[in-house]
Amino acid sequence: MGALLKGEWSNFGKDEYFRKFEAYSMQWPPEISLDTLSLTSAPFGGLIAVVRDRKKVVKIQGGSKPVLSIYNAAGVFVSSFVWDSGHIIQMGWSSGCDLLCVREDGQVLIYDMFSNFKHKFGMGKEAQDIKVVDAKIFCTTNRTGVAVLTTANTIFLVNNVKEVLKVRKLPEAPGGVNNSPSAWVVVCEDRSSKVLFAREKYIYCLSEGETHATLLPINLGDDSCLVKDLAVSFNFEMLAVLTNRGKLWMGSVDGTSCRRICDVRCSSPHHSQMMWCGNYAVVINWGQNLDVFGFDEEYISYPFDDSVFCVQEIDCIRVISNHSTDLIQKVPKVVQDIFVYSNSSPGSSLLSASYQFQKKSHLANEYLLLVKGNLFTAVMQCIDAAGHQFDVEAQRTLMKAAQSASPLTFNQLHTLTLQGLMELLMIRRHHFLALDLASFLKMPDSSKIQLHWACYKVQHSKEDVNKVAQEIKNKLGNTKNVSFREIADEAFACGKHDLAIKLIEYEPRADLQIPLLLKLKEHFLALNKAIESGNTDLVYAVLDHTGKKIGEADFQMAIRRYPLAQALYLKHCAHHNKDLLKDVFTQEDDHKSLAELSIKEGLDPRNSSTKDALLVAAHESYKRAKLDVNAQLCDEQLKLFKYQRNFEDKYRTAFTDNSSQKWPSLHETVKQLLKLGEIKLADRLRTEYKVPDRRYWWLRIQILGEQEDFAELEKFSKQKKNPIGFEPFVDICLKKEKKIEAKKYLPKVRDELKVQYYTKLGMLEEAAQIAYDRRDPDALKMLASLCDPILKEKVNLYIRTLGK
Amino acid sequence: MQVSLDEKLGALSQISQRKLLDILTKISGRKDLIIDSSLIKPLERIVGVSKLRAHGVDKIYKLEKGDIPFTNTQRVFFVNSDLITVKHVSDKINGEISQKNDGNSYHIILVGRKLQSVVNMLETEGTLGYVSLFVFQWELIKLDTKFLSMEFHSLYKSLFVDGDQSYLPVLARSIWTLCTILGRPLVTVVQGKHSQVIDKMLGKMFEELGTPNRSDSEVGCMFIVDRDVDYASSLLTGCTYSCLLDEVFGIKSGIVEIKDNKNDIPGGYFLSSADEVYSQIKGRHFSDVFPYLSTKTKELSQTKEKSQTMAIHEMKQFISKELSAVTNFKKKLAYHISACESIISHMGHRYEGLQNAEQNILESRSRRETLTYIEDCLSMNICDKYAVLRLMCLMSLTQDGLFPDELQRLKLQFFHMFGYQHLTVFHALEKSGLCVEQPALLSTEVKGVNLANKVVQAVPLPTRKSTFTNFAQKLKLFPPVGDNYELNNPTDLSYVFGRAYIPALCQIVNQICKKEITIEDLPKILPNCTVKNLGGDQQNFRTFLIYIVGGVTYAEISAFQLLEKLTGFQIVIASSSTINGNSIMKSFFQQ
Repeated sequence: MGALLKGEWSNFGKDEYFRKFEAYSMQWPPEISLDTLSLTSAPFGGLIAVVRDRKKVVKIQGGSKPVLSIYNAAGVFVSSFVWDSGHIIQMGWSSGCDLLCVREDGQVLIYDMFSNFKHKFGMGKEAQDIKVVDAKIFCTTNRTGVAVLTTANTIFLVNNVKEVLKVRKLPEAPGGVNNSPSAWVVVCEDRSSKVLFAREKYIYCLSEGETHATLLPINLGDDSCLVKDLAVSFNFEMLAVLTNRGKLWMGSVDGTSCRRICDVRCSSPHHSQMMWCGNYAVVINWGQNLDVFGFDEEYISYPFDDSVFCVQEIDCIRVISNHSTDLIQKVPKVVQDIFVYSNSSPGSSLLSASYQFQKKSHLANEYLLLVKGNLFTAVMQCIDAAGHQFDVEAQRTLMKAAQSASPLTFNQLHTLTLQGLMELLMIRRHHFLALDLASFLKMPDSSKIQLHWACYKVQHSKEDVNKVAQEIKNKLGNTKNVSFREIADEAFACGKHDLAIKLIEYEPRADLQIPLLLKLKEHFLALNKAIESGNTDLVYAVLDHTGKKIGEADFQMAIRRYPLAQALYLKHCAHHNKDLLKDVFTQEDDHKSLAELSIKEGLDPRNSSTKDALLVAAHESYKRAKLDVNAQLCDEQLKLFKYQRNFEDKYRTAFTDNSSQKWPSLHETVKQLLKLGEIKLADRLRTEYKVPDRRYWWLRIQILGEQEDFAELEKFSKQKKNPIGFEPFVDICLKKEKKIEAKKYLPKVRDELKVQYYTKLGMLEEAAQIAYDRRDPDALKMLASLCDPILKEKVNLYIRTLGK
Repeated sequence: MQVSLDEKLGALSQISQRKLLDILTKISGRKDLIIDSSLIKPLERIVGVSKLRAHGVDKIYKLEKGDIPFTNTQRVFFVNSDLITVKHVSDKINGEISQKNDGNSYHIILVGRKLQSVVNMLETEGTLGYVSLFVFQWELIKLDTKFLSMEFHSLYKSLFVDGDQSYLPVLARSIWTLCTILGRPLVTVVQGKHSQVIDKMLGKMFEELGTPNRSDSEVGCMFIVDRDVDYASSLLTGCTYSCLLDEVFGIKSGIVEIKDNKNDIPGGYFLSSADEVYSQIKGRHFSDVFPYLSTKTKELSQTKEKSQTMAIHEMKQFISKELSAVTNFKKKLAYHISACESIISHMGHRYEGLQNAEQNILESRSRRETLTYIEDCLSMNICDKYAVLRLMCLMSLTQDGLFPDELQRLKLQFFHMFGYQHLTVFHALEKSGLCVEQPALLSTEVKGVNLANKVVQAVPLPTRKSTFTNFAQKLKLFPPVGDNYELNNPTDLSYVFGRAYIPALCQIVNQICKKEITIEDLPKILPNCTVKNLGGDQQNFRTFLIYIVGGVTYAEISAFQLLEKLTGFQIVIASSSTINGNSIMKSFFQQ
């Protein structure tokens, strides 16, 4: 079994192996031939951009403008577009699967994998003026940069195409402007980048931020050679140098340590590519032949039938040919450990145990005994190895071995890197696959994938708006954490307003809905949402925004349909802008409210000088509102003002009050007059305003009592048609503690109140007598509780008599 | 150990306290605390001064117009989150900064919500850069056994007068917190337009902030109702001791201040069940309070007499153990006695007439007598303007509005008495539906219509009943007339209104307890009412939670407390604040 898996392994040095296997058989369309085309492929098994190679002679088909086509890693057509904007110097892929095309004038155009133009940026004025001759596009896991070489041999560099903050000019290499490099590469560091620049036998390091180039201390062992090519490993740690004399130097990127210098047997005059395989071997592509060099004398050669194109990956190289894509890599240690015969690693034993177990052999137990102490290591080894296998059958075998020990899943090991995988899947629009994978691996945020899908859907769908919105809703409706606002935002960004409106409808949180709706100028939809949410703050926000946008007048008309909004708006106006409030009421023909407003303004002490005018306005408004009674009331108040002012002039005492939010009432005025003894005037007012008799009498009694004019009081009590009775007379006298005066009125008190009033005056005995006469036992009981013992006896006697 | 329902409710104050102290901790160092005067009482309920001191509060000032002395460089304003108050604070800060800016730092604790309009205002005033803003909202404040209140006394006005729902999220949040403590109720009855909004918000909160475990819910049924479902209960004058205390002095945050010309007692008095005198009399009919107090006074004097004839060892025992308790008791007794006296001097002269008028209005009889009474109130200064309006509103409520000429007459006299500017008050009352004109039966364009209308008014139609009467009869809110009813030993809930009326909500719960109606019947009985059942068995409900949006009256509280006693059910009462007829009327004056 082990032998089967080791089939395509070749020895690489003593204990190591290289393997080459086919990952895809290519689905290229028939017209594709690598001989005539130039390929650019993204790392991580990514996309391939194909364009006609100008250097290769070919019979021109169709128009003269080149067509740029994008294929996936298996050669399946994805998209294409006609390139019609100048000469492409270089193409490359970003880590986010965008295609970057560098033009002669230093413009970098960015397309997504579906040939949609995204945006462009320039490499600076200088680069534009003096023309670009070469460019490099370089990626780390989190950024993609561009470096261009100009005709003047200066290099400009952008560290991150996502945020082009600054185009950096690198220091110039010695040798003058006319001395072009024989090779150059970009080396990324944490946040910055530098360029290795080869001229003749020297390699210079050009770092951004430094003024001078530094020479790398590399000894090529041959003074008259020229550097022909440079290659940097995927992790930017290792450097390979190839000379025109076929010398290959391998070592660290700073040139300080050399791992190997060897001669390369040139199978053709020119190599087409040199690159690192992982950071342990250098591969030279001679067109139809790949040579692999390790650090310790190892060497393998892979011949191919026709020209191949290689792509440098993190731990292998991808070899693309007209027929297939192959992977070449060193066999990973774990895989090797398990499969190599007579190896006694725990994983290997576990694998054997598993084989034997499937065969139902007792040997299984013995292999397991070997593993026992290292069970965990064994399981990990098997799982790890499975991850490195591309053959499903082999993976299954390994997983089975792992499972026979414990249920450990692959994702626990790889979640971190799987996140990255998800991102790539999303960018490549394999949403469904990503979603499946995520749910299979129980990854936490599948919502992100769905969101991405939805945004894509929004951008590209040309279907009916309702249909699209419905589809998105159906797919995502039940998912938590998917923000419909973000999707709607995307729709808005694409200019699809109708769709955005539909989508934002699904957003459950009003505070998220509203900003977008306002951006969409859907003011009233926003208002509705705000009102529904019950959050008045939101309503205010919308009102504020909308009022400014569409003009107060139209706005006031429009919000009539929204009672809550209108209420809030009016409240707002009442606080901040009375004139606006007036506008609204006028527009509404709400004369009643206008009248009210005028009255309220009139009450404001600041408006005391204009209060008459305001009241006239109120009067007019009431008239228009057909509230004649109220209009009349305004007139009465106006007349009262006049009286009050007249009286003030006449008597030199205050009848009006300008300091508080109060207008002195008719009664206060009458009272004032009575106090002044102006009975006639008071009478006149009383008649004019139809003051009820009871009220007027009561007032007079109070004032006379206050003034302790008991003679006048008595005279008054003898006036005819007393509408109020004599109780108030008693009360006022009692209040002034004049019992004798009070007694005068007692006989005239109504019979049913007599007991009460006699009691008030402390005439308990009389009270008891009256109660007895009125046969009122309740009153007697009440009296009994107030009496002294002697009287109490009498009262009790009355009670008993009545009880009979 | 079983924790009682009431003890669980105690957790609310701890939550409030924690929230506030956490904010104070964030403002490190010693600081002055400047408090909005309306917040002093609620604050007293939430946290004691010693706790504030322990969290760096040095001096405490009241927010006033004048200058506030500096004691510390850190100033913390504790104010309501409304534009006017915050503007005041902002002006103060600007003033202080322009005078001397020697590194003072300013903090504003906004009570309620951080409204965008407030922040905008601070920005325009240029204060925003100088202050750090905090938002604080207390949870429901426990004012008495199973009685909780948010103490938002302005809520009624903003909801029912201005139609401003800004504070509803805060109320919804308060219910949510309550549910985290007691569990989510199995059945929720929602009535009224504001309550419906609250319920919607509450649902969202359960979704977003979490849903309490259903299996251990303490509450069988929760009612969220709008105040306007039963205006009668808030317009009538309650007859229990607590009702009258509130009526005469106004109880705020369970603290009463007796203000009276004769016996002014400075400082607030905490009303709580811990006060053994108050807990005995709070729910009693007022006629029964004085006898109780005098019995207690007699007992006290007996103890005193006894102490005079004590042997020495008895005396020692008495002084060390009982004396302080007795002194304490005496103090409380004295307080409540003077409160009673004060109530009598305020209300005594008009109490009987008022009761009589209210009863007539409720039963729609003796209309002329009632109108005369109201006119007398106006012409002879029997009561203040609020009490007059209350009667008018009650009349409008029970008879589907006042007749146009009646209303006109009353209004005119009201204006003569208190000024024409109150036209606007009647507008507002009309808008809210509290005091309306009965639509004329015949349109005014017909000749001789006035006479015809008068005739129609004068002829009573025995079959026609007002909406209110129908509602009251359906729920049996008028108690059956019976003899031998003792107000000092009430057996039905109507005693809180002198046997005239049973508060509707209390009656509904009463009928549910007695299984006379089911919860499912409620949408048919109450307007705009929905019932949500999470699948509880109504047979097992022992606990009700009543949340009244817009305010609860002390009469209702007394009635619910009697109901608990009569049925053995547990009833938790919660509301945005306490309220009475006067405060409702006042809301229409503050425009």
